[in-house]
Amino acid sequence: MIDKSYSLKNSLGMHVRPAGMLVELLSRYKSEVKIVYKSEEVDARSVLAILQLGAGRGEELLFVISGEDEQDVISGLDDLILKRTFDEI
Amino acid sequence: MVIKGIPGSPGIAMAKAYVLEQEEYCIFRRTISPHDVKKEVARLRGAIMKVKEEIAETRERLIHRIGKKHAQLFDAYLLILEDRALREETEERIVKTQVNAEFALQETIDRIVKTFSLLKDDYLKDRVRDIIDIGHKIFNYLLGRPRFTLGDLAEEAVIVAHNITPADTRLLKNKLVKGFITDLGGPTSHTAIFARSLEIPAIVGLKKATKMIKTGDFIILDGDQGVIVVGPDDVTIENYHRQQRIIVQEQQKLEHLKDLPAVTLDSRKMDIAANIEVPEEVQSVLAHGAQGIGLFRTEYLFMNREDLPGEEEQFEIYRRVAEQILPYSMIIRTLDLGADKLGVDLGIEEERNPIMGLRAIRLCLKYRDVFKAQLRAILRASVTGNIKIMYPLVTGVDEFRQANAFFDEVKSELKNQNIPFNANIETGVMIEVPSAAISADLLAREADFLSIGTNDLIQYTLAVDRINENVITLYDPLNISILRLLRTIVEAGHAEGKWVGMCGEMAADPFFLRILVGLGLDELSMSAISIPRIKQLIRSTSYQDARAMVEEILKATERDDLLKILKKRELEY
Repeated sequence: MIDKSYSLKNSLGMHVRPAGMLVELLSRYKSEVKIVYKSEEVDARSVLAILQLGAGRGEELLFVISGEDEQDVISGLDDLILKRTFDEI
Repeated sequence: MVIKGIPGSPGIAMAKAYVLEQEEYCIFRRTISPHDVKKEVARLRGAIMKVKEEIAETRERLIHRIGKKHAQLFDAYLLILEDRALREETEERIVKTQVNAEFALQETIDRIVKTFSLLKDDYLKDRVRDIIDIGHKIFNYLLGRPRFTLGDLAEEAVIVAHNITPADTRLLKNKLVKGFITDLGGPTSHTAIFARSLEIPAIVGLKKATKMIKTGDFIILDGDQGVIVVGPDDVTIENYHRQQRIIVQEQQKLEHLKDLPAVTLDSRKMDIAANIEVPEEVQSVLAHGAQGIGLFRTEYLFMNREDLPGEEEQFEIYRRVAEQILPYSMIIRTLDLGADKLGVDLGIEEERNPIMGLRAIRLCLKYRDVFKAQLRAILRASVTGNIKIMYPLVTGVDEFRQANAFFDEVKSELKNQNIPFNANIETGVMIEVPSAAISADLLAREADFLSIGTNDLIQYTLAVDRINENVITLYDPLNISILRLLRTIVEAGHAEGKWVGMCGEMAADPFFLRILVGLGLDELSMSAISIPRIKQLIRSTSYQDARAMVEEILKATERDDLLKILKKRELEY
């Protein structure tokens, strides 16, 4: 199991579009992925669950990943959240 | 049969009625036997699948018709439908508690809605509506009655509904929809404003229209009179056809003016801009040949809701409108409402005379958080287009300075946060209180422009409530004191080299046009529909003649003299 925390740099935080992109990304991997935010833990593959966190711009999300391809998940998340900031400029 | 309601949007529509079913459900809890669990889960999955197909189809069609950007709502719908939480949680309920799919789904949706309404983010809170909409669609399939979607409309129709929600209205931008009729609503309800912006006739507040009109009934909707004729006779139909033809002919005559500038015969150029209430109006604004938006009333964003619009929500709207109206500019008027019209309770006791109470800039200066969210949103949007700002109900220089000082504070805050904005944003003042008119020279020194709001200026100056039938005849834009005030304001602005506009209803009235030209106004802002006519009049007016006429009528001492001069001049023309 590995975990890594990411802060949201895109303009609206965890809104519908970014949440959808995240769910779509995770559908490519096998590992179980959870998001921990302010003492709440949710399934990272559910748009509704992610939205319910209400995590805005600048907030930190902790991703907890366990499974055979957990390293790949981390590189996928790095790319989506850090590098591409959900394709927002 | 004739039914009377409240006129919501002008125009005449003649078509078959399409009555939208009221979306009310009665979900019963039914215990199912263990060997039916699988069947119930399959039923749920089947319904979700069907809705997915339906939405994907509508989405495709809409992308085709109105472009990808507007179909985003459907992307959100699809994400929710495909979501694990919704499906898995409902399936779990079916399996664990052995209940029917409808009841299990209702429980899941209730839970999700509850969690979302606790969120602070306004945009996310709004997703609740999407989730409820999705729920309705799934219920429809579970209950075996697929709901008609407006995208499926095969022929022209007048839509009859109990109520039209903002989510529905996006679907109503369909060329086959010729008019709306709703049981609920008043002249400022969402339906009415939306219909006006789309220039589709509408009647609201009919109470029982959905019960009295059936799908397929041929009806005439007279949006000017607020009258619906169900099953009209041939004579009535012919009369309305004639009226319709006249309206169309008038419009066609004015059509060619669209791209021509508003210049007088002797080459004085004026700016003709549009007043808008909702972002959807931009298309109509451009179609009527406006040179920008002279008044974006932001009140609508704050009305008919239970919370305040947040900075993000406002930013998105201002940015979008500013972009669409480019290369022209847009003047945003800051919130012009009293506390009674806001969805949130600010703890203000009911006012005996709200017109003179705590509203507009006064409210904003007292509840700075509300003001700040709007100012931040405007500033952030100011980099994407040509945005100007103006404050309503300012009584004099002190208030204007207070508002500006706060505006400066907000600007430095953004600067510290490294958020870009246009530091030179033009800041104007609405002249609608007599005291501001009297001190217009002082205000003109500090403001970038003056815009005269005649509706309130006349009402306050003459002490006439313009919706009180007993005194309505005293509400007179041609009152000599009003004309003198107008001259004072225009001269004060020009003396300081500032432009002076007018955004009240007087600006759209052909009867006053030559006076306004003669007074030297630089800009007139009005509802988009009025623009072609006013433009035509400007193009056939001589500024010099109009000036001379104004000089003459300003010498009059009573109304009759004034009218005589006006009449004589009109005849000479």
